[in-house]
Amino acid sequence: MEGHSWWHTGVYGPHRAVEKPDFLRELEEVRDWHVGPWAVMGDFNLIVNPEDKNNSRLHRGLMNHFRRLLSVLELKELYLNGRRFTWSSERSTPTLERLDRVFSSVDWDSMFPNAYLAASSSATSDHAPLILDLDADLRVGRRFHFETFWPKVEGFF
Amino acid sequence: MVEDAWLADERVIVNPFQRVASRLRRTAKRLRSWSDRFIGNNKLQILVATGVIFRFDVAMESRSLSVEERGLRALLKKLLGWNGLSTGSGHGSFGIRRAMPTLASSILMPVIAREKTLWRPWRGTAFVSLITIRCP
Repeated sequence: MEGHSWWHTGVYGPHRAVEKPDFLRELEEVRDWHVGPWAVMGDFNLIVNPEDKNNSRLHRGLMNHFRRLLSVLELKELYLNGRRFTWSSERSTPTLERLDRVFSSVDWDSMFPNAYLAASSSATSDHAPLILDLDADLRVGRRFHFETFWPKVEGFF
Repeated sequence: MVEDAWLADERVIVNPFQRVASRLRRTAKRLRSWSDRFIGNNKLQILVATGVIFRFDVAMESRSLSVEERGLRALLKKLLGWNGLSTGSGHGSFGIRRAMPTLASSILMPVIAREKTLWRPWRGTAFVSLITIRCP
């Protein structure tokens, strides 16, 4: 965007549960250093809600911790079109989770009202890559208008 | 084949830089038509394989895949170069070259023949709308 700049933070969250609180703390510090429109995205290795996982083996403490941080940082999640999960354990009965996300601040949202997030094929990974279009063409097809005078025109019926 | 292309100088180019440039250009051209001969439609095949995996990704969210579907998904991912949970070993580009002709004739080509629409992942429109898997 011309004349406007914003912060992008790419994350790769730690796998091990013990390191996750540190990771969240670091995220908070990153925000302290950078004021202005902010989008933070990547593999968080954390989930926000129980719906983000296809089984009920959840770490509720970490989930709540993550949610608390999001509200402290006033981050909103960008809607992911078409997919519920972004990662698979690739087992025969796979664990599916939504580990990859895009969060943004309110001013970033108003900067990119046409942002559109979708997932691509997990072709060469156990993650589905996310595609963020900052200025998507969200127009739907031409709308149909019924002109009230049409029935009055000869040949209509 | 590469050697033939590299050495096939139609005319003598004195400037060594120009000579290398000409040879590189010729070799690239020759390589491309050579690979087309036994693979063909490489880009399209990769696109279709990617599209099929995407369909399975989405389907997995609401149901369990059958053994055949799981097998095809795993095979396609392997062909595209992903080694699954085993880490570090090898790259898939060799695999895809070797296995793509078979895969193309048995699975991908019928799919390509049936499909006209372009796959636009960022719009969630899948390239492949229907896959019929015939088990041998």
